[in-house]
Amino acid sequence: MSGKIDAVDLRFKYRGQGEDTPFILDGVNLSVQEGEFVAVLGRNGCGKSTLAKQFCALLLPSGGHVYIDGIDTADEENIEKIHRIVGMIFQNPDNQIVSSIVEEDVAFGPENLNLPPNEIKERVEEALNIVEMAGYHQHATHKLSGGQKQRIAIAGIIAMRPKCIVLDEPTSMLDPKGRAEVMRTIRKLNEEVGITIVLITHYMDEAASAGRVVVMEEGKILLDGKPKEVFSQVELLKSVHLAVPQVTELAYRLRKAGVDLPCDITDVDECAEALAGLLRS
Amino acid sequence: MAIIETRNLIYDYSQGTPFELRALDDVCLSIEEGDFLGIIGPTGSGKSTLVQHLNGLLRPVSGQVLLEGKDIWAEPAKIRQVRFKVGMMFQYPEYQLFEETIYKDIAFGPKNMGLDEDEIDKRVREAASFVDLPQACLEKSPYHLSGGEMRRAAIAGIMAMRPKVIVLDEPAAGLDPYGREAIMGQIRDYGKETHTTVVIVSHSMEEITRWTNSVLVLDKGRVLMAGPTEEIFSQAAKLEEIGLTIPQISKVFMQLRAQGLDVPANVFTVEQAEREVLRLLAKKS
Repeated sequence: MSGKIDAVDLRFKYRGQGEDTPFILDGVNLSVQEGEFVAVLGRNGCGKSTLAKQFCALLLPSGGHVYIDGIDTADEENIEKIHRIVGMIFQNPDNQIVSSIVEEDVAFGPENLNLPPNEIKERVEEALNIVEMAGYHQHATHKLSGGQKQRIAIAGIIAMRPKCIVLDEPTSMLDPKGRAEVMRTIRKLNEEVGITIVLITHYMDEAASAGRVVVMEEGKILLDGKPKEVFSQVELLKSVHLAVPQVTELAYRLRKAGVDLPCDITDVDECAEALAGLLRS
Repeated sequence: MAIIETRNLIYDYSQGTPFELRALDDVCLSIEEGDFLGIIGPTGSGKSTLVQHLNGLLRPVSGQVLLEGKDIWAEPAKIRQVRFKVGMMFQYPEYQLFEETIYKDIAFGPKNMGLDEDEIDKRVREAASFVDLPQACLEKSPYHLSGGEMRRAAIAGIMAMRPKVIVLDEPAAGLDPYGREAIMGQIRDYGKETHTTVVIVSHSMEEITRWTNSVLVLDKGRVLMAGPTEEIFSQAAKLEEIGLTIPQISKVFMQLRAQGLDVPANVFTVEQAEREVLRLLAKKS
């Protein structure tokens, strides 16, 4: 199993954009290793969705290269190979459902791989189990909740057995319950199935649960590190229109006011523990 | 004075079929003029159904909706007037822009109100400035704007009708943190300056606690709680019970209380928490 992504000096602008328009991606160097869970943050318009599409060869570099498991996306002959390695999930669940019945929707990908019927059945079964939608085979897709639809879309990708999944704000149109379901599924895919995950998101708490966070600004990579390292840069993140989780912000403000707190608080338990210690001592 | 009231509102989907489903059950509420109200509740609690009653998009099975003290369904033929007074913005309104230019899109509402050209022009420019859309944007096609700009253009389209109440379903969803902050600030300032009543539906409790004055909590089609934001969120545990995700800060303070520490229950924003911790530390030393 692999699922490695390498972007080397990647530059991109759309055809027809003149010489004076800046590059949307302007010299991105990024390696995502097999089995990693990387969250990509950045303000609206920073180029993160464009980067996601480069990773699936939906867009091709204007300069530099993207390699998927060492295969260059720029070579047209490789497109089909790449689409088998990397799957993509988009923001709006309604735009990704192709069939009116759940199992037919999940089977769409494997059918296009020309697999024998038994194998397709097996893969659909397995994919629905992974996203915790077993028993929904015959359900109508339009009657599902947003979170369920998004998980069916994910099942459709898993049934193709990709090594890497790129998700572009998969939870931003969902309610809190749907968000939690989809995030649980994503973590499971990474931890239990071993799929490499690239998650584009605006939610700081989602990013905090990834293994690595990459922050983009004006087509370049601004920060790259563990969530705790990245979220300790409160001022820098604010300067590029981002925020940090509430608890990180609180710890940051208290430290500035002279309170002795660790600078790497990113979740509720850590914060409560640190504050309890302070208030008790 | 209450600008909108509902009395014993009942609404059923698919009435008279085997799929009949009670979406609103005896909902009584009162929205004060000039208030900034947040409506919260888990998925399926009736939030969207309720707001669609406020401007007569849905007609109650029984009960009344009063706008400025008058039943909006007293004269069904005049329901259109209600829609000019109560402006409604749905989720992801950027998908609903349809005109050739932003200017025409914002002007669509006022034009339908039968206003003359000069008045329309005045209102379009005024609304655009409320949401910080540069004049240069007005002649552009909606498709040449960024997501955040399209969202603001859609809000301006409502503001240009100068309604007494604006109802916004998830106005900041999908924007980056800075964009969320900017849009919510513009909506609040607009409400204050024009004395317009603002109602928002949001799943972000951080946003609700940061911006609203009062909150209505729906659960299973009924009003679970209603009152000043501070009062509602000091009962955070009750909100968690019905499946709402409460702000991180509220969770931290709940944990501190559970550990026997004497901290107040009404802390739910970063600013409040900072003040409170500093006060407690000062008291100790």
